[in-house]
Amino acid sequence: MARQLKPGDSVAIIEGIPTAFNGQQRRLGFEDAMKAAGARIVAEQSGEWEMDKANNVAAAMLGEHPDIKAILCGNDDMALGAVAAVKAAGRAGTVLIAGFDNISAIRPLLDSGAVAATADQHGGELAVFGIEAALKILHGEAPPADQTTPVDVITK
Amino acid sequence: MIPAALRKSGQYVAMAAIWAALALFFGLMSHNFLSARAFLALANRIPTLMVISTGMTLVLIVGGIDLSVGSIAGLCGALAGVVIVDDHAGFLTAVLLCLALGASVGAVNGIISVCLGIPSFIVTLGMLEIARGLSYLLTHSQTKYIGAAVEGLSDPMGFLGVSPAFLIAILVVAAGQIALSRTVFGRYLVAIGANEPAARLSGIDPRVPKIAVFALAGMLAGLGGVFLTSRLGSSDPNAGIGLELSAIAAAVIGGTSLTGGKGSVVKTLFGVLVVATLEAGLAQIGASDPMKRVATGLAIILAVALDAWRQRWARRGWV
Repeated sequence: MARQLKPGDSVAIIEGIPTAFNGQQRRLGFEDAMKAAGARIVAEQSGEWEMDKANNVAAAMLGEHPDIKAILCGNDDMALGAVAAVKAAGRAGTVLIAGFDNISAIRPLLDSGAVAATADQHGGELAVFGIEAALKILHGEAPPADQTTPVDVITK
Repeated sequence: MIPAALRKSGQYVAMAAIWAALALFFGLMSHNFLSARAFLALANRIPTLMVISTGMTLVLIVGGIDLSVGSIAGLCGALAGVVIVDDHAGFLTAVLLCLALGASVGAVNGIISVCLGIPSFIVTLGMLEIARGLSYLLTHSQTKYIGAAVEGLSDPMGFLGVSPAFLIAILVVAAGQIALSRTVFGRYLVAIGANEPAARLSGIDPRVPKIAVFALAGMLAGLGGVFLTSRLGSSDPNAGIGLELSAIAAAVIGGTSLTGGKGSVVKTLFGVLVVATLEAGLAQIGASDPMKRVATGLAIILAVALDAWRQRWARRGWV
């Protein structure tokens, strides 16, 4: 996604609930990636993880900064809201949108290109590791060290 | 003394002035807020709140309150997603099912509240949770992308620039106002809300109008859910959280009394404009999340305070 942006392009970030740790981490990740690509973050607001809130925020961002080339969203629901806002603004096809979580509803939009990318953090494995760790602690074993699950960027 | 007709139009002027001031404020604070494009975007954004606030106004006038409308909108939007995507139902079928479901849930609110004599605040607070839970059950808590099958309702129409949903919402507001001020049903609602024992003594059975008004509010919440789903192109089981508070704020800003017996659907529309402009404007100037909440709360209190002052001045014959 960052590769499709040119240095100096304007981008916007719609983050989750500002007090949520995972939301903050995702925002910081977006910021780092955009800094690396040389893109300019012109707007950053919370969509509170919700589709309609993100839709309102995205519509306002597009109104205030018509030059926005990409909108990075903290989850896929908010990405769906951003897609609707881009379409309502008559900008379909000119704004890259990224989500997070790889939910099933985002699939048709990855196929059509309305959403450029999402991230799959293998929620299934996260759950398995969590339960394994809990069982070990219950059996009196020492808690295992932190484990890492892969995060894949999905673009198709 | 100022003649009544002039005083009434004075109220509309005052409300339009509040809205214009708000829009002007955001216009000065941002670059592109005062543009035809931004106002059309606003118009196409508000049909959901318009129809839900119309229902809320009628419920408040009869002396009740409906906290479940946001959840009902979410439930009906979820139903639309399920029947269109999973059951391949046509759009019109889905809409009719949503209206029927909304009306049924609303009627249950009304029947429980009226027949068991439980305050509607409590019944609809319970229904807020029930309908939201049902929405999660129905969708297995998953968002569904619907796309073109629903979007037509919210797409701007050619040269008009507004969506069919907006025109339908205008019709609903007009019908709501006519029902309120020109029909027997509407006069019953005001009479019951103003003084229920007196209404009963003068031969009105308050039960039927009360149940009907809750069913109507539920049906309009269902319609609002359809509009919301159509505008987003997806059905979101979380949709409509907090809409009840926006609708109550819109009605109250429009001068509807929370104790019943007084209110106007058209003035609620001004309230909707204020609430929606505030939401869009705060996002446009890039306000932070905490600032948005503080500003929204202040604006609601200020708008109602202004109305209270205006009424006091009116009693003294100043306005």
